[in-house]
Amino acid sequence: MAATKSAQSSTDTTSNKSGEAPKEANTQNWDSWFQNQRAFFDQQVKSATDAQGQWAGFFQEWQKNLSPSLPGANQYQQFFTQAGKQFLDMQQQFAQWSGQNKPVGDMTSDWLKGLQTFFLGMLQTNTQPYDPANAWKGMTDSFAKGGNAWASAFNSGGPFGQFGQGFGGGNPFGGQGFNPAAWTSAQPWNNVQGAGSFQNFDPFGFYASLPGIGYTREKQDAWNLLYKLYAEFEQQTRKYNAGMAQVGIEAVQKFQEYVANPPEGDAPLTSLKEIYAKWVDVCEDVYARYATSDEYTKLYGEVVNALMAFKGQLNTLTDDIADQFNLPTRSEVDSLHQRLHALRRDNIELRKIVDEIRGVKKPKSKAAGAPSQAKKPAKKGGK
Amino acid sequence: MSAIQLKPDQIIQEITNFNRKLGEGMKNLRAVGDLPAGVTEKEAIYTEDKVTLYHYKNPNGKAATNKTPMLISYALVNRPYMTDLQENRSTVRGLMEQGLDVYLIDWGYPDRSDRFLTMDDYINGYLDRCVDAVCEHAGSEQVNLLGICQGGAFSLCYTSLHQDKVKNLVTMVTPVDFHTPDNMLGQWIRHIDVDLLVDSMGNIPGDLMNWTFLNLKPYRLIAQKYIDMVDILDNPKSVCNFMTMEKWIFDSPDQAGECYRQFVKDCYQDNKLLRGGIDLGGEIVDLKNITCPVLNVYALDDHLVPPSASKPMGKAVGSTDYQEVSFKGGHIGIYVSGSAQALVPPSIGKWLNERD
Repeated sequence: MAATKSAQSSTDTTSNKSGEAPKEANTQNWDSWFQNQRAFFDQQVKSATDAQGQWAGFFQEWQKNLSPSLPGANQYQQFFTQAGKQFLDMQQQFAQWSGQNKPVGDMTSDWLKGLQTFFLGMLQTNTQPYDPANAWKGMTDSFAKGGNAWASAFNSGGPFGQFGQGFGGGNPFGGQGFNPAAWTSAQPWNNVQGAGSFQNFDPFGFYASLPGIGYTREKQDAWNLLYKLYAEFEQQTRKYNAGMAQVGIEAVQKFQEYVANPPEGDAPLTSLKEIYAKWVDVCEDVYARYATSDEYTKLYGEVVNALMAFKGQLNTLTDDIADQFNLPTRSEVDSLHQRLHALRRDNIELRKIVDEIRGVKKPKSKAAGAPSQAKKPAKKGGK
Repeated sequence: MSAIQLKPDQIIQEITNFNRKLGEGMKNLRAVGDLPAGVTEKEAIYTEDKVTLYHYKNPNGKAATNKTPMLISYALVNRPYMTDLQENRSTVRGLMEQGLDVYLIDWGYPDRSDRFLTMDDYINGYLDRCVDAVCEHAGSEQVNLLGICQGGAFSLCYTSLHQDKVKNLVTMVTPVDFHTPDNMLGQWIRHIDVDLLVDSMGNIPGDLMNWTFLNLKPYRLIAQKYIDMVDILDNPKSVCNFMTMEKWIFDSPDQAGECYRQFVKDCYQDNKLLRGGIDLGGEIVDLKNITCPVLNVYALDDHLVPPSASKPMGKAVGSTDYQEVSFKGGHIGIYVSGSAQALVPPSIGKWLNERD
């Protein structure tokens, strides 16, 4: 806070140190200007809101498409969406505050406070106790975003929904259109006296930790493992997001320090664009230090590994579903591809040997089965 | 002195200008239309699976003066038309102006049927057969090989195993030491279980690669870049240039899983390109086997392949004729900036012509 206060005083453009007009005259100038230009301000702010709204919308859409489709990554995405929106928000805020005759030091200070609040909120969200209901929602959301097959399987009660009935009522993943809230409220621990002690109890984790029994034992274990892996991924993601929030908080502090005590010889920032550019520089510096630390690189690895373990288990279950519908599974197709590549390699080697036996000096620049003429290259798609 | 000196009228003026540019920008953005993927006329002379080998035609109609054909091997992670982006930003054209006969490998867009392609398949397979095809087409016994980024690493491996087919080797923004402290990508990958990654993903999506690259400088590349974009939105030509680059940056093929697995484990995790030990189809890559002249071109501000990752090539190769060209710019700027166009292709052309 001390840094913020000194930032306010040091950025007041009425200061004589900057060689500008005396404070009194400057204030009169501002008052007069304010009265005459009030209508103009209002119009500009509205105009800024309209035009920038379009741009902000573009930003959000673009970044939504760019980011991973896993719910755990949403906050990470939000973090950088916020970074892009910051300039647009900053413009609107500064324009409105200018209309209110607010000192520049206060504008800067308030702007930084807004950023700090965002990062603190992000930190708090990611350091709260684990919420199993959210974890469940996150996992089902990831299915919904991962493809229609998964969405159908878990949300619509469509053909895949029938599949889960094999589990009976004891497994939270079974049944049509599973409703976690209804399921949770129906469980026996709700009747136990002092059920408040279950506040942080993870019922899904509890069931997932039980070994499967009976005819569907292996399937139960597979689904239980999926939940455990998702919970692990979510925990790692929260740690990661908390780390990124700390980067934001530290960047705000560094910027406040810069505003309070700019390095000697540094030219003052004389536009919103320059302020924003400086803010980005500070963020990148803080981030670069964090991103090359042992703490970050280890955490980065843990997040990626947790996500891949979860995705790997999803693949296993998807194969299982495909197999039940008499469809080729990914592992079967992979196996065929492996054999095909091995055959091609053998074929190429054999062709070389045949060429040598035939006395062909130079191997032909054509692989086995390759077309004899150049054809139009395939276009992007079918990833 | 105050760190921030703003006046209300300046703020309003700045916002007014911003809004004006935004308004005009929307019009200019809509007028961009289709963007080219390379501008110089070229002919496909060989195809295999998704790989296409192109031969460029000199737009001035001049015949090549350098007797040895040049083959460009680009990285798998982006599309090779970066070398021929626009008429005035074309490394390919710059090389042809130096009298070179230019060929280029387009690796295509691998899909799941390509998941089991290995580094051996790419280097001893596709690349080797493209070299043969170039030699046959040009009537030459050898090629001048120009490898870019990951394609440079592949070219080093290839030359190590097929030195007789490479007359001169040129590498651009090519990493050799993957364990330098300023290599952020190299540090991030250390704790990743690559086997788990590839086994779960199959091919590695291009979008995932892009997301990783953006996160090297996320505030600048995900946010600030598009704020700065507004500055040029009122200029149709600048908008077109920006969008051309934008198209290329996000035109990223998926990575064949097995090739990615070996490249990341051998190079990024175990640093085998420098230390030795990369196994390609039973043959071990040893950079000391490279005895032809080598020219290494790197960018001083490259955040993907820092100079410290590229310069160790000099001591790693067996060549006694090793030279470097450094460029003041970044990983992408080395192909497209005006200063790069004035420096890089002429330097390469001069160096090659002296060794023809």
